[in-house]
Amino acid sequence: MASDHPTFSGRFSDGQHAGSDSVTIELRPAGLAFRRADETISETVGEAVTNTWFWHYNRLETARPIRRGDVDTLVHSPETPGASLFVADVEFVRRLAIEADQISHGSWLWRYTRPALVMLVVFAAIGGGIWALDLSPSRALANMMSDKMRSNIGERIFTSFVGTYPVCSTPDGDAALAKMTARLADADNDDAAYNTRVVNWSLENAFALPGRKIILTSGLIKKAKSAEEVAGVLAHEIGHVVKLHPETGVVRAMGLTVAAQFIFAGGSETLGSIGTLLVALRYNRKAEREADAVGLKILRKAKVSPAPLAGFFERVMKKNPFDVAAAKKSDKKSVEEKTTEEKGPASRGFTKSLELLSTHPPTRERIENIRARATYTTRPVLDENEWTALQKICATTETAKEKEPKKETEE
Amino acid sequence: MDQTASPPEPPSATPAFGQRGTGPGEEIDIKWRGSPWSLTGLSFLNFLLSVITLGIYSFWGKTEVRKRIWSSVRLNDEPLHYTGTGKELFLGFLIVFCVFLLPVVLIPLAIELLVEGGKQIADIIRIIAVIAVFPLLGVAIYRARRYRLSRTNWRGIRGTLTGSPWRYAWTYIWTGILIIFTLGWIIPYRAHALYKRMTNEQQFGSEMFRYSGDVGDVYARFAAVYFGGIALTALVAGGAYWFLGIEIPTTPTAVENMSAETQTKFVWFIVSIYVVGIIIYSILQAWYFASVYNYFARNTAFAGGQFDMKLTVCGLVWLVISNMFIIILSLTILQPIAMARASQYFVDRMSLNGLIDVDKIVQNAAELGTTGEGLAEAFDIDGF
Repeated sequence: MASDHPTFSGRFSDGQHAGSDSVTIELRPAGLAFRRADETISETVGEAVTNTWFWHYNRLETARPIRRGDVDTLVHSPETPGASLFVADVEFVRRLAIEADQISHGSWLWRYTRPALVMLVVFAAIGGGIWALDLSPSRALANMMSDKMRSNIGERIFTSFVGTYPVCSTPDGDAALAKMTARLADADNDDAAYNTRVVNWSLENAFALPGRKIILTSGLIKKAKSAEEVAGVLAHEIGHVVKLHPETGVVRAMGLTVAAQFIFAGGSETLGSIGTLLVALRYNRKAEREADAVGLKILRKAKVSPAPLAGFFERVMKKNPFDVAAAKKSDKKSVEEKTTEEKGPASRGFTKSLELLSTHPPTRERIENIRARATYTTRPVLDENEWTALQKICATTETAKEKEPKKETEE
Repeated sequence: MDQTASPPEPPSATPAFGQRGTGPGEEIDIKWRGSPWSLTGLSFLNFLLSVITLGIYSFWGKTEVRKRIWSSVRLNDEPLHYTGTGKELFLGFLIVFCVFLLPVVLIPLAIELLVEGGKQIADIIRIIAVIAVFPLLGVAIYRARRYRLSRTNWRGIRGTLTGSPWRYAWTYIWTGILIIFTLGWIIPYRAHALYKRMTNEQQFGSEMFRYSGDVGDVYARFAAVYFGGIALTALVAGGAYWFLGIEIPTTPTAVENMSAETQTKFVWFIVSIYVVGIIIYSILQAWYFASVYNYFARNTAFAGGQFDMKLTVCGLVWLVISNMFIIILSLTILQPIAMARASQYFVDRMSLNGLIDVDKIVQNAAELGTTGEGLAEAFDIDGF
């Protein structure tokens, strides 16, 4: 019986042997029918047909989607597991792509990209949700840390990050610092103590570390013109501590490191460090605003004037943005030289993400925010002698690198 | 029942193709079909999808690239069929990530942050982890090959590796350690032993591959490169010295006493030795590689046929340099094209001579593992 359907030649492999057989294939309305080339189809009503395979179009699969112009194709079907049909005929391929749309290139492209698009939507939803609801998974985890854990982490970070710079200590200086700290601590609704230290480091900065530790640098104290200026900075750092920014920062940095390992262990490293850094930096601005708000509240409750802090910020703002690592390297230079020095961009790496524990240079917005506050009754945070003692707290401490000629102690 | 109106039912019994016995066999013609550059669109698409899924999609991307490359390899015009899935690669990676990578990153970090003197302990753990990687590298290479072979079909018949990854890894480690101590003279033995183990444990269907090469022949090629390289470098050094006409300073004071002009000449001398040395070394390495792999192929048999390979030095050097440009200039996005070009180069120069009785080759009964290449993914081992 001659066939009304388009007929082609191909090779069929049963998947059990590596040999293959020539077959004649018909493109029927619902699928492919094929039989050995030297046999004819017997279509007997009521009898099972035993020498013809039939593969439905909608169940066909190919390893490689059919594109226009393809000259051959290898098809399989779950209807005969392991078997395959190879046809090297342009017309067959063209017709098959029409009948079995799922193996065409266009259909494959949509199936291939759809899961990725779904993933993108899910990631965007999660990210957007976290942002919109102001959630902080890192902060939630930081909250769960015990005090001992926080204190330990803080000490480890102190040693690795600041450890090269000696801690300054004189009896009078320590007393003055403790008095200032206690005055502000009483205003923060929290009974736990703060561990405030001054290190002999010409960098003008202050750091809040996990475990309620605050570091002021000798450079900062030198730059300040009054005890109120130092108190303002200290209150700001207490704000960071109260809001758990240091602990959150550590959790975040660890989480980003792990995520980067996961994402980029299997793929390209190019985006990894940059992405990690961008996320860490963006976080900083929000933290600064929060710390400002809490710091100003504490100053108010402690009846310390905030105006000197604004003045201090204005003087600091004249300099270019800091690079802590660059400043560390240029430690030998004087403070004046450093004000005009071009600071380099932040470098990459885990230790760099610790920079988010340091305060960022103040902006015009923050200064105006301070000035806009309503005035209130104030009293000095330290007297003259105490302020002098604080200013000289590093007088008997050696520097990290070279021994500087000892300063004469003034009365 | 009216059979003519509706399509015929699938056959109730699998039709038999009749007797399958040994016949005269057939020639197997190995060819590459298509252009590697046809992967350009897919490469960019994979990059984009990888970025928006934070890298998760790279496993599916890799799988799709393999499917395309495999189907360009034709045996008697019929393509190889890659049956692996992105899911298998992803799961394999996840397992290794959770069991090995994550602990290796997190545990030292936690120790460093929480424990007094933790940094030293953390560093020790990290060093131990790096050392532990070496045996695992060998295992990863073997398992990755086994995965790819088991996912490679031709006419429905798949390949496999039947041996133990740990025995392969053992050879990999001890010969690797000895490279420095033998000044490189273990290298030919290493190449021969690893190729022999991998090949003789390799199967396509029920038929084994068989490598019958001799390690002495590999050493002969290595010796040519080794001593030839030394001789050539000495020749070039001598020539440069003669050409530049300078005294080689033998004491530190002599170095200080050189005039500025002599110093400049001396620097140029050193630089030119270095550059020429690199060029010579690269060409010798290409010659060694081509020579050794042609030898390996010519001594590998399968199902009554003998392989042959015709790699050339110029071809290899051009392939490596051009692929390097493609990868660097595209910031690795077009790496699939480099892979396809390399595959094309090797396939076009490969042949299997003799009559292969394909009917004798039956499907192998080895079980398919369900996950793929986790170790290889984690350690970034890749060929294609």
